[in-house]
Formats: sequence, structure tokens, C-alpha cells
Amino acid sequence: MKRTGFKFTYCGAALLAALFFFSKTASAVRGMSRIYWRSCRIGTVPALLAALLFSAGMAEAKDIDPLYLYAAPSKGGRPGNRGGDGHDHSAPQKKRQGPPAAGGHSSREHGKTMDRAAETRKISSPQAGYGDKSKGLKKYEPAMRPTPKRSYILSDKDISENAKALLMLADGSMGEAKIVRGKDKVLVEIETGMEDGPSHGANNVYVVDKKVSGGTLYIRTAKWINIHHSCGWGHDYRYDEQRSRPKSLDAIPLEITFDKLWSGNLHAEVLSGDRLGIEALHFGKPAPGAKISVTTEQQWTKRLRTDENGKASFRLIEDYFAQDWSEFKRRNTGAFTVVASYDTDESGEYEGEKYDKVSIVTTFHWKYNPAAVGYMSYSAGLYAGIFTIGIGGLGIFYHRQRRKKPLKEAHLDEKA
Amino acid sequence: MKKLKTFGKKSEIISKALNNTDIESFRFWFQLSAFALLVYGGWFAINFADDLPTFACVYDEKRGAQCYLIGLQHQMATPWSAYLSGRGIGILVAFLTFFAWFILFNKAWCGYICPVGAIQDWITKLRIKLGIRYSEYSAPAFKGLKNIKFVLLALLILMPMSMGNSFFGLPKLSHEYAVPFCMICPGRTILPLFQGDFSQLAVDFSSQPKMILTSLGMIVTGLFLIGAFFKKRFFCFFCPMSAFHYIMKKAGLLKLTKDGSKCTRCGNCYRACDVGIREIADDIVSKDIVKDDCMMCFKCVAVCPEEKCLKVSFLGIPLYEATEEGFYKRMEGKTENDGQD
Repeated sequence: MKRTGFKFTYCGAALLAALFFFSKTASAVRGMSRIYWRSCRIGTVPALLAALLFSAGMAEAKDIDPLYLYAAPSKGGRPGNRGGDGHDHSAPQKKRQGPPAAGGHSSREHGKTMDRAAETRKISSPQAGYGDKSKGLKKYEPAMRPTPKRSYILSDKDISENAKALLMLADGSMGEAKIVRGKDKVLVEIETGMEDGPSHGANNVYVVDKKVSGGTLYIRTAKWINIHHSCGWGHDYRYDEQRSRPKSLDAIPLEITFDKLWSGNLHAEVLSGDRLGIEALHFGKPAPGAKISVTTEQQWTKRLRTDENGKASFRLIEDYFAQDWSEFKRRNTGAFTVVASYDTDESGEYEGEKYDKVSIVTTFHWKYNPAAVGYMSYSAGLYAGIFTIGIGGLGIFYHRQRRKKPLKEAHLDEKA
Repeated sequence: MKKLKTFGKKSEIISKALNNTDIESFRFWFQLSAFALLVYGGWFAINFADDLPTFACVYDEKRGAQCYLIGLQHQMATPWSAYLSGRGIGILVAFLTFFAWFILFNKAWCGYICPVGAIQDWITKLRIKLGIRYSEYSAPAFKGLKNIKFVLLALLILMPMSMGNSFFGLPKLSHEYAVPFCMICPGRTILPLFQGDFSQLAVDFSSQPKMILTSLGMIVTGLFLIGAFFKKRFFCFFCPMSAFHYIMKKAGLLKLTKDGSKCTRCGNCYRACDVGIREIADDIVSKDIVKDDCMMCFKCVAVCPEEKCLKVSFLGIPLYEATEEGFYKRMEGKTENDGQD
């Protein structure tokens, strides 16, 4: 009996170990790397080899860390507040649902070195940098509130000395953008003026940072589109396709452009449920096979790869749900972040250091509102209209019929 | 001297030709052209003007111009302190633009250019084709209802004002009530239909104010359609733009005047009037005969048989006058009931 019991004990322990192993493996799938876990637990040679190969691949991507631009808090109050012009442009933020997003846009800020796997995780992870809202950082600006000067905060204050900022104005000409290095933060400042001039429309702000490490040239770019518009300046540019469409700059190593982000009236108009077309451009030319990751504030992530024309598309998810009708905000503004990476085998020299590979990563934020189909009802509108027409028509018909009847007058019989 | 005589003769011929014109036919084609410009102008990259004193609806994506009222409502939401800032200049510029356009045509913007007015005229034509009788307001109803447009004008200014400012310590009005008149204007719901855009027919349930305003908008649209079918220029009677025009009509360069001494009070003008202004026939004292409901269609001038009793002039230059010859020319081939549908 004892022997049998001993066997059962071993068998039970083995079963428990197997269950533990599988459950760990299953959870690990959602974790960092399935291959690492398998190699550790199973110890199989192929898995170990695969893990080593994978690690070797990742090692090359060391130190690359996406660079993000955020809107600096405005002096007049929080960005995104309502203008006094009657527009309901922006969204109240306090009702935003979902858990607070993960903090830290940069692993460097956490004292970690970032490998490619971590980067991939970060790209797809809940809103890198979303937690920076506490610092007043925003991923969108209030629309139709032009100011003559704008500041943007860079996510990484340790950018290289040679990093440069570029500004392409709405009319296609180049403006001036400068990097201002402070103690705590690095700002990108642009001047757009306050008139219906070259900057009226969508102005592209870029930051390009380059560094050679381990024989690879790492290029980080961040893009921001500033809509500089006042309805008072008119909406003539809606007839000018060149002016009103999102533009790209050929000098940028990797850039993400969208087919449509705003209406002809320069009002941002991306809604949940919209299908957005993306184009990844490598120095103005299509970048086929570029990895793209889109992440919303509610941590929904979509990973894509561009086709041979450098294009891809995705449908934005609906991720804003009010608990109650009275709490629903039509203009609730959420932000999504797009990160694209693209590698080439180009070789060359940068600042005296040779490289034989180029790894580029670029980022971009934009905003979106809830889909109109969620709160607009055609049937209710038609019922109201048809009901009014019906009641009105019947009323007129009844009125006319009544007037056709002879008057019930009392006649005095004069003969009597 | 000879040249002067020739010029005089030529101007007489022109004036005669103008006075004999069939103004209704001219108006129809003018309205149609204005409609095409204001509603479809965007397709041809035309942005005729902003802040026009007529309904060129911004909810129509491919419009060719823009109505002043939406801008006015937006601007009125400005806090008091900002009236003296750059925004105040914007408000002033928009008003001056509106005013400059307005004085050019005075209330003829309603009779000749307004696309919502044109739609009502076309609905009237349909009713006539169907042989259905028109309706009229009784005199007391007319007097009472005509004030609604002034109330609407006051509301469209005061409501946005109370969004940007507090009145008597009361809380500010929710921005969900932005552009309140546009929300109930039939131009918003009907004009985009001509572009194939049905989105404005929906009721917005995103908030209570939006639901109320968009539901009201659809009810007004229903009233507009049924009302315009039975009553000529039904909506113009309640239009705040018309009230705005009336406040500034004295500055208008285009004038409609009456010489009361020549009026026989035959009532032709009143019967021809789409809006049903009684004073046009009864008032023989006033020279300026443009009333708050007048849309300056000049049908009254066309049906007046008295020589130079009614006159349309621009900067004092007569453009169109009532003449006996013109009257008979226009009446040729018409039956007794024509023009009274």
C-alpha cells in the first residue's frame, strides 16, 4: 500500500507540475516571449536555439526607443477646453472610461534598457505615455483655437545634440521649429502667427534624432500635426485639395500619413468605426513591409504591416461607453498612437561611426470621437417629421371641411 | 445736346422694356440660378461669400456661400470681456460684411436669392399644378404671428450670449444649445438633401438639449413642408433673418416706394402678395412700403395698373415701375384667377 501510495504521490506531483507548467506557459503567451518561457521550462534544444536566435535578433535593436511629441499644457488652462466661440470642440476628460493607462512612455525613464521585444510590447501596450496626463501632457490640441506660438514636449529629454526639429507649414513651405532644452524637459517650439497666412491649415511638426550603436543607425522621428485654424478666417481651403490634405515631407526618414484626418473645413473628424488608410513613407517614398502598431487609450491595439505600396488600413474601434445616457459626451475625445518601424540594410557613416543597418521608428498621435451612429436616429427624425406633416395635413383638411358647412345662423321670422 | 437726347431716348426705351417685363419669370430664373450657386457652388470650387444675409447653409458641405446667422450665433457666445479683444473685431467684421451685402439688395435677398424661399415657391407651384386651394391667415392671426420672427431673432442672440455669460447670476446655458436657430431651421434639414446628404434628418440623442433641438428641427421641417404647401411663403413669416433685414431696411440701396396719391386701393397688390401684407394696399400715406414680412418680390409692382404708383429703385435710379402698359402686357392671356393661387 505504501509503495502504491508513494507512486500515487509521485504521479500526483508530476500531474501538478505538468498543470503548473502548462498554466505558466499559457499565461506566458500573453507575457514577454513565448520562446523564452518554453526554453526555460522545457529545456528543449530547438526552443533554446530559437530563443537564442530571437535574442540575438533583438539585441541589435537595443537602445531604440520611440520618441513621442505631446502638446504642452497651455497657459490659459488645460488643453482641450472649450472655446468661447460656441463650438463644442473638445471633450470633457473626466468621464473617460477604462483603467488609468500604463505610465512611462520611455523605458529609459524607468532605468531600463529597451530591447526590440520590449519595444514591440510597448508599442502595442496600453498607451505608452498615457500616464503622463498627470504632467499635463496631451496627445491632442484643442481645435480651432489658434495661438501664435505652440510648444510640444518631447518624451525623451536625452535626445542627441544633433537632433533637429522641422516644421512644414500648411501651404507646403518650411517654417521654423526649434528644440529648447530645459532641465526637466525638452520642448519643440513653433511659431504660426495669428492670421490667415501660410500656416492656416495643417502644420506638420517633426523631430528627427539619430544615433549609431552596434553598427546600426537608429533613427527616431516623431510627428505632430497642428491644425491652425479659426472659423473666422473662412473655409476656402476646402476647395484646395493640396492644402487641405495631410501632407508629408520627403526629408523625413520615416513618416506616417493618413488619407483623411479632418474635414474640408479643417475640423478633426475621425470617429470610432472609421476605416483609416495609412501610408508609411521612407524619405517620401513608400515603405513596404513597415511594421505599424495602433493603440487607443483603452489599450486596444492593432498591428499591421504595409503592403508593397507602403499602405495599410485599419478600422478604429469604438471604445467609449457611457454608464448612463446623461453621462454620454458626444465630443468625448480619445487619442490613438501610431508607431511604425522600418529597417533597411543601408550602410554608411554617421558622425564618424560606421553602420551597416538602419532601424527607424516613428510615432504620431491623433484624436477621435464616438461614432455618430451610436447616438443619431433617422427613424426618430422621420417619425417626428411625418407625424407633424400628418397632423398638419389633417388639421387643414378638417378646418376646410368645417368651413364648407352652412352657417348655423338664427333667422328672425319677420312675418311672425 | 444731341447726345443727351439720344441718351434720354435710349434710357426711355430701356425703362419701358424693364417696366413691361414679366417679373415672375425673371424671378424664377434668378432664384434657380441663386439656388444652384448657393447649394451646389462648392462642386465648382465657388465660395461666393461668407456672412451672407440669406440661408446658404453650412450644413451643406458643397455650398457656395455661408449664412450669417450661424456665425452670429457662434460669436454671440463670446464672454463679455472678449468683446473688446480680437474676437470683437471678428464680430464687427462679420457684421459689416453682412451689412454690406444686405444694403445691396435689401429684402430682395428673401424674394430672389434665399434657397429656402425658392423651395417654398416651388412647393407653391406644385400645389397650383395639383389644383389645391391656398390658405391665408385671418387678420388677427396675421398680426399675432408676425411677431414670432422677432422673438426668434432675440432668442438666437440671447441664447448663445447666455452660454458665454451669466445673466443675473444665473448659471450659464449649456454649450449643447449651440447654434439654436440652425438646429430648428428647415434650411439645415432640407438643403443638404439636394446634395444627397440625409444626415441632418436624424435626431441626435447624445444629450437632452441636442435631442430637444434636433427633434424640434424635424417638427419644424414637417411644418415647413405642409405649411409651405398650403400657405405661400409659410416659413418667411417666422424667419429671424427677415426680422433682421427689417431692422436695417432703411439702409438698403434697393427701395420699394409707393405714391399714395396715385393709388386707387384696388387691392391688386394685396391679392398678389405671397405673404399677404394688407398695408401695401391700405397704406396710402407711407412712401416706404417695405414691411417686416415683405420679401421684395415685386409682384405688387407687376400687378399695379396705376402709372408709377409703385416703384423699385436702386440708389434713386428707377429700375421697375408700375405702368398701365406693363400691367396690360403682363395680363395678356391670363385668366381672372391667375396669380391668386
